[in-house]
Amino acid sequence: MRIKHLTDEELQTYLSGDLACEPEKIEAHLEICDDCRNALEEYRFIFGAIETEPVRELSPDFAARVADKVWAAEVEPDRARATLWTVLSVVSAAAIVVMFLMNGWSLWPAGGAVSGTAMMQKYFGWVKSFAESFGSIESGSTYLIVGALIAGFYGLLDKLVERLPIRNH
Amino acid sequence: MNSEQLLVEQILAGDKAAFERLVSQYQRLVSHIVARIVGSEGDFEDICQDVFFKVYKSLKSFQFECKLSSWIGRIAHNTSLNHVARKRPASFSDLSEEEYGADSYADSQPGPIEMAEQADVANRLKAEIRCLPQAYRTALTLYHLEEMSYIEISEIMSLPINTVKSHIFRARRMLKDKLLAVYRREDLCA
Repeated sequence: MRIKHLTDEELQTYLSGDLACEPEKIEAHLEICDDCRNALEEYRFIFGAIETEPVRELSPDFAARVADKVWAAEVEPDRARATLWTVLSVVSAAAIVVMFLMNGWSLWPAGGAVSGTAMMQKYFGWVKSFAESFGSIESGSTYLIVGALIAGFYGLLDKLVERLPIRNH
Repeated sequence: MNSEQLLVEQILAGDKAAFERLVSQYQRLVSHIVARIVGSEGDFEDICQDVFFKVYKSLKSFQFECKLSSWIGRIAHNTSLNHVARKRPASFSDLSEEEYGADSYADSQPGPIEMAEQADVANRLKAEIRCLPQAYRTALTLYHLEEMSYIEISEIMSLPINTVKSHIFRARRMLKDKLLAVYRREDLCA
């Protein structure tokens, strides 16, 4: 009767310790088959040799050097930008508070209810008059200054929201 | 929160020492993948460094859908493949067994094998590993040297698990056949 030998895959799976190959059946066959036992020994050699194969290691200070480079390139410029942005935001917010303290009381309806449109008109009129208080500055530039102040203020709000304990995951 | 999540949180919060720990922890994995695909000469260390730059830049988007090692391994794998693609056209060792045929492998011209100064079995095996198709070499290394599971290797190499298994089985069989073509069985199993 012709013996059905173990396949390469069965031999390799057995050597890997994978129980899916039904080790008892493999071992029973190996007991009676020289060819498969020889093939198993050949694979055992290959497994052992691969596992002892040296691969080039990185230099011992690699991790420290990479961390330094990543921080210098990615983190520190971000921090500098963030600091500058925070300073600008705080200055803008302070300027807007001052503006409000100086003129904002006029937004409050003097007598009775005022419509939303009227409030908005009054608000923009107030912003315009504040901008014009810079005197000699061209009117286009005054709007830019006010726009920058408002953007800075929203930047500050953004920073505050970022600090809220909200996580995506 | 597990240790991987904690490490990532610390890095994202600006902790440089935590990033250094991450590099120390995964530099062996990265170096194994880069060395197997690109080789361990020339740009080897620069590419490993590039991998960790990419890891840092992408860390915010890591959603813990797989292990951190698999994710970093995938970045190393893709970076190495891109580097090879930029550097030179595909060589025979970048192709799969089907693409160039098993026979052409056996008939390969003088290369690393002949350059091995000592003709002993261990050196021969090293040279034969370098001659394996790149995908076989990478899968074999991750399985045997990094002791990764088929699932992890499939995540790193973006291949189906059965393909990874097949690469590893075929790589071992090719190594065995090549060695037995040169040495007697007794030399291997002494």
